[in-house]
Amino acid sequence: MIRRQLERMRTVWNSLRAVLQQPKLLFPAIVAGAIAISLVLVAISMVLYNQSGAAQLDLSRPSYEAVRSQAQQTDALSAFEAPNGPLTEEDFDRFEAHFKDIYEGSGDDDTYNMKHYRRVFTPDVLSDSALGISVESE
Amino acid sequence: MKKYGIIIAVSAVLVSAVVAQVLHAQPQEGQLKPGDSPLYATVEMNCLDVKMELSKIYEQDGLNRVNAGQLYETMSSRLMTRLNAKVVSDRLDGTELVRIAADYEDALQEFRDEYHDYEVAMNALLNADCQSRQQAFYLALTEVRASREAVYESVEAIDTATKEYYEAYEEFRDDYLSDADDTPPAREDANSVE
Repeated sequence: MIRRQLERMRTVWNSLRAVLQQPKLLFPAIVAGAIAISLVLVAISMVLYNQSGAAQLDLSRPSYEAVRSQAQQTDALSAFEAPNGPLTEEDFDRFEAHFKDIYEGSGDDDTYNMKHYRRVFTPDVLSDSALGISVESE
Repeated sequence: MKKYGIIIAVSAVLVSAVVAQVLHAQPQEGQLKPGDSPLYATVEMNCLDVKMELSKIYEQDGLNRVNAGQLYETMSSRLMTRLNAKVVSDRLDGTELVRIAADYEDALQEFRDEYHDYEVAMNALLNADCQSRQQAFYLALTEVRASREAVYESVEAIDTATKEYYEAYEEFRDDYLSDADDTPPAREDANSVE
């Protein structure tokens, strides 16, 4: 069984070598091989793109064009820098300031905080009344 | 003979793939399941208006997902993880902080998974036919609602974990500072220069 498989693989390889040794067929064979490999890699990439969750975060998709400019930048968000020595009261104060900045927000933009986004995924927006749907049960 | 064998094998694979696709599609196309009660109801809706509204919701959800995800990741990586690492490196008792941070990560992963399922369902709903198959469309809408409900619950879990972490942090801070106050001042070195 394995010998037959090996013989078949050898036959295919010899056929491929025969094709590649013909000058007229070499270039088209290389182009076809490159295209085939590219298609396979693109297919694998698309599967990974959808399954990894990156598709849900990609605002460059056409369906998100209207809201793309409203995405916030992460550079403005706070970060707690741990001190080299023992923790002091000032360190705790800094941590609390950063925490409240992210959880409750600060400054002019009072919507970019965790408390605000706690309410945005409410199921009410998909209710029958919100969508203008009427259902009569039989 | 070999050629015929290859042709037959390839044909069999193609036919089985088509049959499998048809068999898989049949339950979704016509066969009713016990939970399909909305299909027995009369559904009235303006298809275009509903799809337009769903498109707006879909757009806004994408934006909210990105912004909310950034906040959740920042809370985890720039605050909780750094404080916990400092507590552990100083060999302080931060067991509760570490435990709640782990719960937070679990809730965050749950949010990612639930939102992925919700977005896939919503995308399929937007591409579904609601003109000629309103009842099937409404059935799909109820499933999308359930997915969004799961997303909302995961967001609530993240919020709960965040509040618990802050409470544990306050307790840790109070204990740490009170221990620091109770520590007697270091005695002066007898050989120090006066």
